[in-house]
Amino acid sequence: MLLLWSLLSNKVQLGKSHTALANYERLRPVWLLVGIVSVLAVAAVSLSLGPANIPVDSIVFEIIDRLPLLKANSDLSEIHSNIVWEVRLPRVILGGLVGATLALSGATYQAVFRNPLADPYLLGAAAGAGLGATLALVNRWGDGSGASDAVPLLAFCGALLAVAITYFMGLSGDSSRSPASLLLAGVAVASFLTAIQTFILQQNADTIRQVYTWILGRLNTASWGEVWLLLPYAVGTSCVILLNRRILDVMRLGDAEAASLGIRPDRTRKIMVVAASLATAAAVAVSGLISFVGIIVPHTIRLLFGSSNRIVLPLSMLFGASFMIAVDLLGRTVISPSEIPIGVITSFCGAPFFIFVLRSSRRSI
Amino acid sequence: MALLEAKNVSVTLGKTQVLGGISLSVQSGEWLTIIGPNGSGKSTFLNALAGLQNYEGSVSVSGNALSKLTARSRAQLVSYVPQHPIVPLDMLAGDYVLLGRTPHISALGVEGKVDLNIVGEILSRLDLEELGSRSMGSLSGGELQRCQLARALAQMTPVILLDEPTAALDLGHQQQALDLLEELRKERQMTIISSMHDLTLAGQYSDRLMLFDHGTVVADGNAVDVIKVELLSGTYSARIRVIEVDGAQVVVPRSKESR
Repeated sequence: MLLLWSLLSNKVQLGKSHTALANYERLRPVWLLVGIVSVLAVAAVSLSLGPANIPVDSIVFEIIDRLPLLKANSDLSEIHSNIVWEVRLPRVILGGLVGATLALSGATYQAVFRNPLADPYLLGAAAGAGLGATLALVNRWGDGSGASDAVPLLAFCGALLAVAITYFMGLSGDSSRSPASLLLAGVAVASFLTAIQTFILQQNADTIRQVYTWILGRLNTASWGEVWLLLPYAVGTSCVILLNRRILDVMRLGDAEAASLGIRPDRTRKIMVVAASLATAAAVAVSGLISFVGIIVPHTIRLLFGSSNRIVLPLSMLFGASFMIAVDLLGRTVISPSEIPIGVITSFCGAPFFIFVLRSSRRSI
Repeated sequence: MALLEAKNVSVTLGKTQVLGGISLSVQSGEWLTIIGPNGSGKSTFLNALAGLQNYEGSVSVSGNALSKLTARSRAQLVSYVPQHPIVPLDMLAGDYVLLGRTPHISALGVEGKVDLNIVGEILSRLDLEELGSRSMGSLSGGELQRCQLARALAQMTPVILLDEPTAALDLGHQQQALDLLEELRKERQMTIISSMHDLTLAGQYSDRLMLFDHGTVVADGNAVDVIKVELLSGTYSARIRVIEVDGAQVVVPRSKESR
């Protein structure tokens, strides 16, 4: 909240103090407001729709009633109250957190590597998580449900380990190497880990379906446990990244010029990669490999609102959250009672929308 | 006391010695231009002064050894415009110039009123106000070059390093840019260290020329001392003639046939 306030207040102050605001790209309060409203709106719709339709106003009262120190009468039956509180609300919040985290991590990777194709899985996080989850499922250490299960734990460790290997291989103690060598190391590590994962999977054909379901990403097993698991990572890392939003704009000038302006580009890149990777690993652990969000959300923001990281980072979080909640809503209602895997919908809806924005925008990436 | 003092600055890349022990001192408000053929170490020397290149020896500004300063404090003393800057095409020109205030803004903070006012003044001084809201990708070569200069000026450093500041410009824009630098130098008592390929312009604008060859200083002095056929034709391996026009040393290439 404090950070949100600082994002806004700096902008308002800027507006008052300088008349030539048109010279600078800054986060406008109205955009921030639109982002927040969009999250709340899709969350409300998502809480209300499903096999049992529950009116939005009752849901609002129900949530207020459950908050400490507040009282409200929601007139919901116990079953409906449980559906809202135990099933839909954790799923909506988890979806929002995953969307925000993946979009912010993608935007961060794109900024520090100055590469529009960078996504949260660039340094091997997806392959590492996939291998970790496969190991857990194949050995029946867990079945992929519940926050304390072995699957998210191993997926989290696998993702972090893969990024760490990439980092040390790519730089191998030589800080003067270009960031491109890091990206190439990421490609190599990812393909190596995927090879191992595929081999293990071939040897254990009976779990292919389970692993495949995990890889496609899902929120249908969401519970409060997963929300609490992801929340600290999401909040901590996004604070670190958002506080560096201006520094990330300096990094757009390249390492040499950033250094001549008093920034230490290698250190900044390291901090940002660690933060974004932690956030990605935590998101992947609870939701599987949801692709595409980390690329299209930041680029859509760039095309619609502007390229400064002061705009891209906070708005990516908000619109990443609302995009993910909306996509999950589609996934569980379109062919209800069965569900479409969320990874399928993100790409199926996201890709055409992104092409539309790409073609109709006057800006370029 | 000299503002900038370099002692025995050497750079070795791999096994090649690119700079072999350069020493110089530059007074406050002086304009020093480094000339020399391609690969003579001009850019490497400027990179070393800017702190972007590891070197042996010492460089100090106002008595502060640059190697002992943090990146941020160094950037408050020395600003630098590289020969081929990286231009973020979708960044607004105003934002680009404002990035020059980075060394004066706290690490995680954002710019304040003072920074905006300084940038506002520089933009109007360089006739860039109109361009402030345009993206860098839409600017012409000359406009781009002025924005880069504006960003370095916004750093408000006593020393400004310019690597080939006029390389991308036509004759008229070259003169405009150099005239502007000359004015600003007088206004602000700014010290300019630049490198230049155009020897005639280098001689006209700078107080002092330094001729580099194979990473060492071959000649050091004013235009009359340095722009001489016997010095330049050898280092550049070029057929030239130097003539004096209105008190300026003009370097004229000779054709192969002429004697």
